[in-house]
This record gives sequence, structure tokens and C-alpha cells, in this order.
Amino acid sequence: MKRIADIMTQDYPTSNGSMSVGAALEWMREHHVDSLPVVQDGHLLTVFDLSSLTSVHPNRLLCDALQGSVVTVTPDTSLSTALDIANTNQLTILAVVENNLYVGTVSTAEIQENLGFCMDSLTDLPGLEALKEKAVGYLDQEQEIAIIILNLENFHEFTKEYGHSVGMQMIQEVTRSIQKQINEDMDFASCYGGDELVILTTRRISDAEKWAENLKKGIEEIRIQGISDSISVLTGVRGGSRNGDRTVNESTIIAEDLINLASQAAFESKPVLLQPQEDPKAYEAMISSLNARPVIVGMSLHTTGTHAEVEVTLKLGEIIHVGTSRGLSVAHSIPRLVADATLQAAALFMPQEYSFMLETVQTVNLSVGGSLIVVVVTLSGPDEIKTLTGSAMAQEDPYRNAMKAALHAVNRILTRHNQPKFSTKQDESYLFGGKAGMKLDLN
Amino acid sequence: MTNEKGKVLLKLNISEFELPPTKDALVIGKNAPIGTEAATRMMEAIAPDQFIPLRVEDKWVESIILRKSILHAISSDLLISSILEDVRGLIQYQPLLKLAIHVSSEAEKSFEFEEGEGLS
Repeated sequence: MKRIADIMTQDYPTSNGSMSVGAALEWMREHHVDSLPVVQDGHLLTVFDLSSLTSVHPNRLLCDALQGSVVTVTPDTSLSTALDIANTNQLTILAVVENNLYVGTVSTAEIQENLGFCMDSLTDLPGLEALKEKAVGYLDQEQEIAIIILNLENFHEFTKEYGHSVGMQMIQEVTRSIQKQINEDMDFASCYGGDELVILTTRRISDAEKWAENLKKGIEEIRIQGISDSISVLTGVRGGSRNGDRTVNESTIIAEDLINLASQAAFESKPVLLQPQEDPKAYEAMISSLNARPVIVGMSLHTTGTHAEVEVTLKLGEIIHVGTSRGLSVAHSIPRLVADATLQAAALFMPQEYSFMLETVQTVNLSVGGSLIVVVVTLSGPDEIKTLTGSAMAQEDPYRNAMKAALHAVNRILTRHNQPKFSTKQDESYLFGGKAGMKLDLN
Repeated sequence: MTNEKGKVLLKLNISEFELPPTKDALVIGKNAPIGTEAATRMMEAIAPDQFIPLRVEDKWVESIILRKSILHAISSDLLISSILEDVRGLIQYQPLLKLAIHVSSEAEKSFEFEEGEGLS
């Protein structure tokens, strides 16, 4: 989880306070900065903004124009906390102070960007990173949380059918509908991609499940003028908490697990549209594609002298891919090769422009006994670079654990890219139990 | 053909520049064009180690730069409250005031005499 130290800059201009207010204003306008920290002997005196300086006599020194207290963060402050502080105090930059010494500056825009805020999109909701930070904060305090996934099931098809601007109008209405029902004291909504909303809530799981149904209903009732079709929503809700002293990263792992599990629950809630007896092969393919995630078929390890080669075979529906990884045949490096080969195979289920890079494979010993294998992966795509984490409880077979943890890390993104495609047009022949009104396109 | 003639009149007002520019204190208003830090640096340059800035909690006054020796005769709290009372009406319109402070003390003692005693 990123902290302020990861994104702050030490290059932001500062003054020692000897400049006159008039000269400072002129300098700020010329350099297009709207805030100026004043630092003397390493100590931060204040951070001026343009509006606070314009009311001061221009002949005064900056150090003679100090007013009130200064709001700061530390390098260790989480991004979401820092953003809350900046928003509460209406600041465009935050000074970073450690042990009473000024160490850098961070802008609100930079924080938002790193939190994955969709500021340019129409939702104006924070991204998943911001939600994860909040979730980790709650879990660290041993508070119970629930994650709600709202998957706008046919949003892409809706946009394709009615055009981009209608699609954008719809997403705006969806966001508005959710925001109306949000209680800021206990709920935090974020967007993930263009068609999925993830909500963190401290409501009890049973209440969260009921509330998720209300959110779903609210979205499905939205109509854009002149268009009868609506958006259908898949919901998944999972809750959990953390008890007692555990490892440092455990809250992060739990938060990610809950998101993955809720996402999985959302996909599993997809209505079955085909009857098995109608077309058994198509039905099997549909069920497989609904799961939309590969399963492990097998693994082989070949060692020659000091080198080892690992092959991992994954299957998704009827498609099989094999991933290979080579390296030194030292005992502790084999799980890494296994995880790498798993990712190589998994990447073949993704569009070509995406790739997975294995960062680390670590075993974390839990204080309650047992251990967890944790795999960290970097996903690179045309519009995104993000860190994915997967874990598996360490069982007897360390190689299988490495495969499971690697798959766990990428399952969510694989699911996103391997969902079945639906048409918004009604086709009675594919209805099952009168539920839903869409045709499954298996091609 | 024109014949223009110009005339420049030079008038000088000459007076002594007092060092330091204030005798005992400089009252700095919140709207003054010079602040406490700059005024303190100025006084320190002109009269080293003779003046001290006293920060003030007041609606109009930011500080009083005071001759240190005054504090030997009167406490800073008493002095500040007296000065604030006296400058309050003026500082809103003249945010930089110089002061001369005269501190004098009076002593009176009384003696009781026994019968038969007294000043002779």
C-alpha cells in the first residue's frame, strides 16, 4: 500500500521567509504555483497560498505574514488519509514533516492520481486502490467489513447499441443512484474499470446483502430518455474481519481476498440462460466461461545439472495454455519458477497487449500457526499498470501452493477479460425460468 | 519661432535622522507594511542588543519592539496593557507608532511618633 513517502517530492520550491510578500506573489504567478512552503533551518513555518497572501501588505516579509497553524502529513501517512486532510482543509498541496523537519511536498492531484481517482471520467469516484486503503484501515482496527461488487453486466453492449454518450449518461445516473444511497459514515464507493463498482461498507454482512439488492434495484430501474433498455447488475457480497496480532501485510491480503471473493460471487450470480438439454456442449462451454478463470491441469519440473525448467498447464473452457519458466535448480527458487510459469500460461488467456511480471514469492509465517505463500505480480496493459497480490495457505505441496497463489493474484483480471459476451436483444429461446432477457453469444 | 524656458525649483527639508528611529518602543499594527521580524532585524542592525520584540494578542496590534532597559523598571505585562490601552484608538489608522516611555516612581512613607517625640 502506497504511503506519502512513495509519491512526495523534495524538489518543490520553498522560501526561507526573507522574500517580501509582493515578490513572493509575483514569483508564484510567474511560476504557476499556488502554494509556497516557508522553511527556516529545516523547520516548516507555514505553507502560503495565493489567496492568503493577497490580503497581506506586499512590503512585509513572508516570515512576518504567518497566520494560524500549518497542516502537515508525515511520510508514513496513507494516501487516503492525506487526501481526507487535504480535502477537509481545502489544500492543493500538503507539506510533509518528519521529526519536526520539513522533508517534502505532495500535491492533492498527485494523491488522487495514485489512488486511481477517476476524476476525468464521469463517475468522479475514487479507484480501487483508495478503497483497499480504507479497507486495510478498518481491518487494522479489527473492524468487520463487507465488500459489495456491482457489475454492470451489459454495460459494454448497451454502449455499443446506443452510443458512447448515452453510455456515459447511464454511468453518471448509476453513480448518482449509488451516491444517493451511500452513508458516508459507513460506506465508501469506488470504480473499477468502466463497468464495475466496488463498495466497502462497515454494515453487518446481512445488512450489506440487503442493501446491495437495493443498490441493484436502483440501478436497474434507471432509464435514459427514449431508451427502454436498462442495465442489469450482478452483485456479490463478502465480509470479513481480522482478529488479534497478525503479520503486517495481512490486512492487505484479507482486503484483496474479500474483493476477489465478492467479484467471484458476482459472476456466480449470473443467471443461467441455457438449459443443459438444449445444447449440452454449448451449456458446458457457457458454464466454463461463466467461471471465466483457468484451472490448473498440471505441472512438470525438469532439472539438468544446475538448471531447472518448469511447465505449468492451465485450462479455461476448451482452451489449454502452457507456460514455461527456467532458472537455477536451487530448492528455494523452484516455487518462484512455478509461479512464473503459471503467470506465463495465464497471460496467454489475456489480450496480447497485457503481460504479467512476477515480482516476489514469499512465505509469511502466521502467528496463529501455519504459513501463507504470497505472490506479487505487476500487470502491464495499454491503460494500466498495477500490482496484483495472490495468496494461498501453505500446504504440503509447495509447488501447487505457488501455482494457486499466482492464479489467485491474476484471477480477477482474467475473469474481467474472459467474461461471456451478451447481446441486449431479447431472445426467448435462451430464457431459463423466465429470468433475464438476453441472448448468450458464445462466439 | 518660440523661446521656451524651464525652471526647476529644489526645496530641501532637513532634519536629523534619529538613531534609533524610536526612543523606547515601536508599536507594530497588524496592517503595518513592516512586520515584527523585519522590524526586529532593523532595530538590531541600528541599535544592537538594545531592543526586544514582545508579541501581543490583540485585534490590531501585532507586537511591541521595546527598549530592553524599560523592563528593569516595569513588568512587560503591565507595560503592554498600558500601551495597548493608549494606542488602541490610533493604531487602526496609523499601524506603525513610535513611543517614548517615561517611567518614574514615587515613594511615600509615614511614621508614627510616641508622645513627646517628633521632629524638632
